[in-house]
Amino acid sequence: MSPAEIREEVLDILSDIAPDEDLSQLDDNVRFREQLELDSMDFLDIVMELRKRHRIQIPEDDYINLASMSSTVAFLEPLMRDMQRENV
Amino acid sequence: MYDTIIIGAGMSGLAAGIRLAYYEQRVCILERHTTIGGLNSFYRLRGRDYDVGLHALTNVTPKGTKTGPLARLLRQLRLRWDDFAIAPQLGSEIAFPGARLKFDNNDRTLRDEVAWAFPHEADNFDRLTREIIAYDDLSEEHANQSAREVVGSILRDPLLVEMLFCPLMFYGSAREHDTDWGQFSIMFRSIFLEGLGRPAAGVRLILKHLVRKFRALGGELKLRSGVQRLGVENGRVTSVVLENDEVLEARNVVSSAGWCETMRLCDDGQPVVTSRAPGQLTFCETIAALDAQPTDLGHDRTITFFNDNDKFVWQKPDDLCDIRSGVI
Repeated sequence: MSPAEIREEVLDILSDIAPDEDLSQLDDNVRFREQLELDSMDFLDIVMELRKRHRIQIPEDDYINLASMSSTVAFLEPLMRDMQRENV
Repeated sequence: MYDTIIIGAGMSGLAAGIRLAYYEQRVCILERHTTIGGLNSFYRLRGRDYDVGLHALTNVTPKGTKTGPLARLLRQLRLRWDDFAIAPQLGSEIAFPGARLKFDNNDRTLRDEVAWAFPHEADNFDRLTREIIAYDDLSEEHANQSAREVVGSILRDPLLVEMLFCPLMFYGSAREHDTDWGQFSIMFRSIFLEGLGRPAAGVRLILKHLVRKFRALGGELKLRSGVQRLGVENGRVTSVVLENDEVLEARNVVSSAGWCETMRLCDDGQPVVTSRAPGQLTFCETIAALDAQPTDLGHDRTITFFNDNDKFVWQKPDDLCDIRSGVI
């Protein structure tokens, strides 16, 4: 997947976890927690969704990379480079 | 071999089952009773539906609210606010001989009532509310601080203190006389700052959604399957033996049977740790069916917390039941 596709996938996961949030105004460079109502359980869900959908394992020490959209995409890029995004 | 066996098909067991099954664990919930619900169950008698335990939901916030325990719970279980069909309370009351305080799902109501009945305490009440809002329920910092001590240092009128403690003790204290400041803050927020409501169809609607979701995610539910003992090896639970002697294996066992009972089920011969002894208080409940609407009898309060004295006593009674205080 390209970074843009990875971004779309993360947005898809976020809309699943927090359906009441308006994601259209998301600032990629600002931490998710400062823009959205997400707690630590929600972050865990992001990790779990990535595992469920793409079989990506993210160790606990790497959770820090999921703070913002840009850091998340940068972190996932090498892991998801060779994957295909399914048509949704 | 299951990934997780959960003991108890009450709300916590079902919720845990949903979360684990959602993330593809092979989950089995074991329930000793013939039906689900545990401490918050339901039954039908002579053509009427009754709920056991839960009669009102705390933490009721309007649909669309993103913060607070209800919103979080719905999000984590992938349920919608509409699924519970919550009917908000009309309004409740704390009734002591010297004063009455009304409260409802608008937190200003209680604030105004306090300001009217205890004008000298209006500012203190605001300060107490700010402290309560500031309490971080995820930190252990104030876990053991006495609520009576903290509240007593902010509010001066003893009657007001007793009146605020009454509902919160009923909802949240298994301990005599006092509760801890953390618990007090959590209950205060749940009842006075958020709100009360009831699924109009009763708790069975919530349970129906939970069990349906759990099964749809591939979870297994075994009713009439009480646990006889938990097989322990090297300090780890490795098997679950049912009352019919059937043996089930799982990588993890999660129990909603309570600390004492769960420890008792473990077959490694370790004595139950007495520092976590069972609570000393319990409720006695009576249900009456009337042939008139409560409003016809002049009663319009959803819940009434009453006490027959200026002082609220919360302790193990000397006789069968302490009826000086209660919840209607």
